[in-house]
Amino acid sequence: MTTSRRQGYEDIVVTVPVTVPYVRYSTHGAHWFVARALAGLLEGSRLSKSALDGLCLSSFTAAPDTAVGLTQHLGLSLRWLDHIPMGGAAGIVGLRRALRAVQSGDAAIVACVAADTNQSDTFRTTVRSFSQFAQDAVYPYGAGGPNASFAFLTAYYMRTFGARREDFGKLCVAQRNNALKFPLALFKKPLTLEEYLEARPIADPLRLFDCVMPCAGAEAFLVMRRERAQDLGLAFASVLGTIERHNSFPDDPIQTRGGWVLDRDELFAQAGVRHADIDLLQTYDDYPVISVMQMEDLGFCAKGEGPDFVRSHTFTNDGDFPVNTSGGQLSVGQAGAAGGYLGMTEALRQITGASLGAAVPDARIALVSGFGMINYDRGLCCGAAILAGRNA
Amino acid sequence: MTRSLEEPGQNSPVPQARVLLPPSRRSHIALGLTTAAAQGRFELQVCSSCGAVQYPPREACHRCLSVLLDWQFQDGGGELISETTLFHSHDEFFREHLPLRLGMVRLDSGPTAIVYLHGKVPPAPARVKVDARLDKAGRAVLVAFPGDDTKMADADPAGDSPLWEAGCGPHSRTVPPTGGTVGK
Repeated sequence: MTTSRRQGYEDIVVTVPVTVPYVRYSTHGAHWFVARALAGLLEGSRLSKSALDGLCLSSFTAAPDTAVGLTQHLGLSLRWLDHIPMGGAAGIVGLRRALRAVQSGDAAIVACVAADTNQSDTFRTTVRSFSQFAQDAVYPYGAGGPNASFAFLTAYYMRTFGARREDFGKLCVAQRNNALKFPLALFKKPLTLEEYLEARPIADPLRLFDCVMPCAGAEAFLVMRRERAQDLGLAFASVLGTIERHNSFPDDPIQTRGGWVLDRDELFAQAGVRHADIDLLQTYDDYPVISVMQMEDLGFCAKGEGPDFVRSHTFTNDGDFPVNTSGGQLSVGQAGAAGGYLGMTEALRQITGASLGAAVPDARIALVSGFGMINYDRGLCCGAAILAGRNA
Repeated sequence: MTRSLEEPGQNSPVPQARVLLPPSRRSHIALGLTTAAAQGRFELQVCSSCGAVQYPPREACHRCLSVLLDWQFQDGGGELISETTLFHSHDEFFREHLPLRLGMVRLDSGPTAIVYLHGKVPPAPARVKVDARLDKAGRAVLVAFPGDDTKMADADPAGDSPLWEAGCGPHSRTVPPTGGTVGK
């Protein structure tokens, strides 16, 4: 499986986590949110716009523009540019590209930005044209969008591994508790298990609080050399290890595992840490079943033990296994591709002592996981990164 | 059977309702499914080089990258491995027909297909027979019938009205030309 030893990221760091506050709907275009994110990065780093020489963009709603259109729209002159259309894996993949760009000297300071707007009909348009397979073989079947896709995966997972709705509910309720202390979360009201179980049905077995809420917003961070971050007086995190994998296990009849399974040993080996060293986990959580799958596939428990793992742990920020410490997408909202960045910016804040919500005590090492792109019947992109903050 | 549309009288005081249709947008290659369905057959692309069956429709073989793919008759046998009942849809047409029961079927020939489920299909896991039918927009959609009986739909249309209203059958419909020959 391993073809070559992965080179480390030694002196390259991640810094200045920025969130452009989410709104349910916006009349602004995606470009507005990209601009706000970049302004936040410059303000947070006290850098001038001309100091940015690299941009890595993810957006579903910038069309007809791609990243290159944004350079002219926002007056950026760059020597390195990337566009990562990988949704929930965008944060991990964008980080990986930016790290190597800075390490190789192709760029000095890369802004990684995920931004999307949500206007009337935006989500339907995205779902309808998400991919050729989605247009030909998914949308014509009830146009349920990701709710239907995850309903299939959830129903199969429950039947095969004995998960109950209460297990998924426990995760959703814990994340809501985390979100109540996170000022940028769109969901401000407490959620009880009873409310979760009795919410209106969306796509059996999924009910309302299993489903992420589309919204508008942006997330961003900077990648640069450690000395530069120190000169600027910025709090930063090191990157201990990263992985990505696409279209893994294509012969599985239905998705019960992701590409993390193939690469997790290398991830932890590269990072030089063990599972017990992880202080907090940020999963990609558009639906709770995929969070449980990530806990299994990243090796926190074996395949099929996810339900027991959920029953025997607490996932709040003061619990024994803090997960999605800002509330995750399920309680903060899903601002398009920014959903793939949410865990990264939150992890950066937690491990650099800059938490906006409830701080995880003594948090030093975070695992951030990404999952994206239900091209047809399963998510194709998987990725993960282990980050180390202060005193790590 | 689907109701035929009543012709409104002249000067009818009833406002003309906009006729909603299921989503008709397909890639060019995917229309091969419709061409066969219009002739009453369920066909998928089969690779001339390695024999791999393809679904969703493709421009090249997912196994060997050959571009020589032939549409061939499928018997449609498979296993219903997961299912859902939709209570929410992004599309206006489907919103009028909720709830809709959908399945994920592993065809015996290899691919996984997302399909409509006939009301008599038991809960997953279950053996099903998949067939291609034309919907109201004149496009092929896949429908799974219980066991080995694709005739169920003709025998028991009223038992499954949401599915039936969502399409399935060119009776009294205008079927767009597909390159196939539709017999009377």
